[in-house]
Amino acid sequence: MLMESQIENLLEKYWKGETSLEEEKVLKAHFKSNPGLSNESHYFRYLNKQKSTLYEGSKGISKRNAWISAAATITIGVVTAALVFNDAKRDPFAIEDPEKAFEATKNALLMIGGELQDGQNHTMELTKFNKAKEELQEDS
Amino acid sequence: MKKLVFVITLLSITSLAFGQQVVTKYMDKYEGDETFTKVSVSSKMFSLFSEMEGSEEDEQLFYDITSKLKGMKVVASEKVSNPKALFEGAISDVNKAGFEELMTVKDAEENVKISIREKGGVIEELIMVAGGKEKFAMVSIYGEIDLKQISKLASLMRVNQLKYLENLDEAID
Repeated sequence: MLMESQIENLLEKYWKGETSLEEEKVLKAHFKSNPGLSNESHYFRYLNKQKSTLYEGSKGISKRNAWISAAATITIGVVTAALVFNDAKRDPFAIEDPEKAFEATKNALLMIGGELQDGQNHTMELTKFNKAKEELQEDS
Repeated sequence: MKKLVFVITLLSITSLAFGQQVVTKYMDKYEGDETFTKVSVSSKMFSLFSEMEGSEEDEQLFYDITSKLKGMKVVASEKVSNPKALFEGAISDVNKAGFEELMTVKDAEENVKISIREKGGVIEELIMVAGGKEKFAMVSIYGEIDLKQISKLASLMRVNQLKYLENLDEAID
């Protein structure tokens, strides 16, 4: 048990900001075990109480936050990786010259279009022609 | 939460990888093979086409078709050692990828099969596989595909070619 005078000294040092962590602990412990009606007593008990509530609260939030941020990080990482991977995969054969791309596209469309037309005249096996067939017949 | 993350991850991967995966597979397979021509045109290129000049009907139609496309890929070779096996393999890969056969054209020279993948009445992807005596070709277009327009484009261009030939004949006469 500390003497009143020692507490007075410590308090004086405390308000000057000169106490060490150990001395502050002593002060807090003292006011916890000797709840008085003085302002200091209220103050130190308030600090103790505040400390415990803050701790519990932050514990709950941080756990949830960790999940959300982990989920977000993984999602962003995977999407980015997939995008980069996809791009890298597509790149090697991509035509950069618009003129060449134009020619290639024209040829490809003509090839497909030509077959679509031939398909109507030639012997053909049709397994599924539904709407596409109707459209083509309307057209020709 | 774990499940949600898993589902989101899975969805993002599948949706990104789905378009033109069959052709991409063949492009990768013959990446180092010089006898195979591999071509890829991106949606960015298609948007550039619309800035080119064009007033003829077939040109307008061409821009209209390409503006709705997201990509085009071609893998082709003029000289393959086993065209039949390659053709059969490609057809089976296309079927496995969930495509429905639209039409088959067979003649003495070549086999052509066109397959499509539809979603909500819209054709999202079209793959044409062609196999000849020594030739093999796989063409895929991806985006919003209107068969009617593509067929019309081919007929318009054929007519133009004929006109050109007629004019040429007249010029010679």
